Amino acid sequence: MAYVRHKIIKGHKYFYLVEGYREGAKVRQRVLLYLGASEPSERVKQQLKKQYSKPKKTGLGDDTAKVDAADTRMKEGVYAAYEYFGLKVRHNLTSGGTNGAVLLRNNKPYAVSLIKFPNTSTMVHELGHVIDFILQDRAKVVRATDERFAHIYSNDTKSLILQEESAALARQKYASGYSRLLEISEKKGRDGHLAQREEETLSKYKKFFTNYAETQVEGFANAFALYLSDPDLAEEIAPRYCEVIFTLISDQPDMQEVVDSLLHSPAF
Amino acid sequence: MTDKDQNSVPAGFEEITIVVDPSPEMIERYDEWEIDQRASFKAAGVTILSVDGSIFHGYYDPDTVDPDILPS
Repeated sequence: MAYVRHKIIKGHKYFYLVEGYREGAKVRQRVLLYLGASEPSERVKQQLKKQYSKPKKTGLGDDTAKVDAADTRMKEGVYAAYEYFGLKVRHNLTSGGTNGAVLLRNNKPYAVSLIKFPNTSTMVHELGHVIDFILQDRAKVVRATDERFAHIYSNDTKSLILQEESAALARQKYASGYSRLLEISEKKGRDGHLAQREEETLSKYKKFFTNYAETQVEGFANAFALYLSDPDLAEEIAPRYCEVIFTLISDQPDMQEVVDSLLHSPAF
Repeated sequence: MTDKDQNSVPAGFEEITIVVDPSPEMIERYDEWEIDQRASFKAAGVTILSVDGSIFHGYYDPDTVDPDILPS
């Protein structure tokens, strides 16, 4: 069972996700994630506990079977959504390092590429990209009906709008990587310098978050995927994304129907 | 995507945009991953014009490249 605890170091509180484990007669504790100097909200704590706790054994294995069945239904729903939007689906990613891709011609998605056995969250994430680009293609209609949200499709990709939520979504998704980034950054702040290897790690992690994970295009797909798996958490950490995405989708009846069918699937 | 990007696609070539998601392990070697992606697209016959985060934008010759095999 994972839980959040804090340590006080030189008068400052630092938060960790930890779990207890048995070693002979003794119960010990190991750190799973460093969470930084700010206390996470209750909702985030619950999500982390859920994410990092091992499933309870029932003796019958029925919980695992239920999770597998729900996962399979969600995957079937996502494949149906790809088909509905007229996308070719190829399991042609064989080189290491890439989980999924969406291909566009004239700004319209026409194919999704996946690894041979993709996990459900990757498939939903790629569907998020597809919906983002289809909405962009229809944006002139959306803009005409609701000017409040026109800003999300600004051509200025360096825009800071929604940046904060994109970052929060990335930090939730890549919690262990962000934990490591925080740990090294704070060490640098404390000691004033880092060993060369740590300096390189810090630079790589920062680049991953800044150039990729925290961008708005990823923010959209991350918010969409998180909403389908945990709507309450999505609304807590990315309320504006959720409002924008689902208001835009509600203006597109065909898209709303596809998303509704996924929302009514059990959480993956 | 900017108008400049659109205009950079030569006549007779097909424009393509690929949104690529690295696996979480690539946090350890994001630089190399990006270089690998460029090399992979080049090898498949796609000329990359711009990269913006996970979005690779470029073009290919439809007479010599089958877009159905991209990315590989």
